[in-house]
Amino acid sequence: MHIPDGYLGPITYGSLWAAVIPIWIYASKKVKEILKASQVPLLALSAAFSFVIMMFNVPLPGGTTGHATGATLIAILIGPWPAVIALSIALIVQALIFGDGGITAIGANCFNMGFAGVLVGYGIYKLISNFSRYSSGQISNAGTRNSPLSTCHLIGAGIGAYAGINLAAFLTAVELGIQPLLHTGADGRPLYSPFPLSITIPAIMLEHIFIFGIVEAVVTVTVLLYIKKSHPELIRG
Amino acid sequence: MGIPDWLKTVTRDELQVVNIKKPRERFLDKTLRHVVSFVEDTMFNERTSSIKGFLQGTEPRIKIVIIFLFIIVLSFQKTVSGIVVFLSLALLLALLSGVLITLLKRLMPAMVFTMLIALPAALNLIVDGEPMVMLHEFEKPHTFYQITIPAHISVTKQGALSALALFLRVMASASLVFLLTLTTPPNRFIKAVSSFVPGAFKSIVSISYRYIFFLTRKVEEFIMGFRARNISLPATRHSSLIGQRWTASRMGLLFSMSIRLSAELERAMEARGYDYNFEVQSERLKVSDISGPDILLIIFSITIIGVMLWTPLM
Repeated sequence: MHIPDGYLGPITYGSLWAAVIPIWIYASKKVKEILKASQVPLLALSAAFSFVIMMFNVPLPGGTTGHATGATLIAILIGPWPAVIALSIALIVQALIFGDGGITAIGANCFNMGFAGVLVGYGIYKLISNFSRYSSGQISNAGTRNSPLSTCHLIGAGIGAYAGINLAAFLTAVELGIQPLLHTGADGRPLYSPFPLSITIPAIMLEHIFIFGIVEAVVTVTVLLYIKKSHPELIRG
Repeated sequence: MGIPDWLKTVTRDELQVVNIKKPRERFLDKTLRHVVSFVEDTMFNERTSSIKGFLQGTEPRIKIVIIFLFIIVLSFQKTVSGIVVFLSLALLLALLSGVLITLLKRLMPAMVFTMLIALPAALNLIVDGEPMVMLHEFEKPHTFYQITIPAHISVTKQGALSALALFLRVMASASLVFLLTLTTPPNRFIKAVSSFVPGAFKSIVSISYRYIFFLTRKVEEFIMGFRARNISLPATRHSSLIGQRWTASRMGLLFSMSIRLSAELERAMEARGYDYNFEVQSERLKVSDISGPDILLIIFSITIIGVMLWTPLM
């Protein structure tokens, strides 16, 4: 899902850079408010963590494997705005040091995965968790289904992760698919990504709906289950 | 002393386990491959950046600005010839820096991947235009959902040019980025990058870069430990579930490690008198930092960028 250099024209990548810079400024302000102390080491380690979990391949039934971005997972663990910063730093380091994703496309990749994916995933998680709380008659005691990471929270986390990565993939598909509409030469040939929306959307979305979305949901839920069991004190969100 | 007979005979069940080991543990192999290529690339960058070449002798901050400008100006190029200028430039710089072969090797996966993506664009299925080579003829056009397959499938002139431009543009951009990492020691590179990042982000970038290596080593140890303790994942229908559980537990463990390390780091910083919102002070670029190769690179780049922006190639 990392868009390399050369696929997006200047209008698209410039607009996404312009969109993501205020998001970073706002996120860093929110982070200062939320994490009063030790924000630097926590954010740095969270960025390193999000970089490293993208290396893990997860097995799926039938022999397929895929890797997750961990966007919703990190948002649940450290909060949505710190997650925006952590994911963005991981994506920038990937682009600069390892050529995973383009330099001009940093804005697009951070917007899709580091912002939209994170906030939508976390938003759905919160919505389902809160819905479960209200539907069961307000806040309950620890140890009941509404305690940190109850079944409803885990379902919310899974659905949020699935929706978050699929939204990020959809945005990627749209950004690539609009290139032939935005940038064409005098002879009508596309100057950047030549594939129209009718091709980019099914090509990218099918693999995310059937493989990577499932991987993301599985990773998010199983990691949260592990943390709930072994380190419950680490859950913030 | 000979090998006992019971060790030489292989039962049918054991053979089955050996045969199925590979696919069931593919996720481990892939993760390990990621980890190894990450460490290898970084080690290799350390080696190539110590070669006495043209770009190795330049100031990293100047090099970063120039390469980024090249990538931006390249993105504005509308003709194949304009893109070729930048690709040739990247290859020339790689040659002068003694990293041409390494660069080509590193480009290989991107080359294959981009070619596979770009090739269909040459067909009239994607980009309509003047037919150059007729590939297949159907009796009538077919429509599947929104995609129409025309009666004549051919390579078009516009499509071929579009595919070629995409391939060359991606290769030129990737070459320029790889040039940066191949000719700058990783620590100096991250320090130079940090100098362009505002406020507390400087320290976040530099600390996270260091801990990426620590956590990556941990992932390698997890896999090696798993391999050392298990001959193979059990040959059951639930082996993917076991693999998922293992992966999730290692990710969870990595997260708890990250939190513990961040707390330790915080205490260490506190003990050394750092404020919570400390910022890494980046050194200002002084005139004395600029050497002969830097001046040469600046003049050369300004000329190329000027020419590419104002000539009819645009």
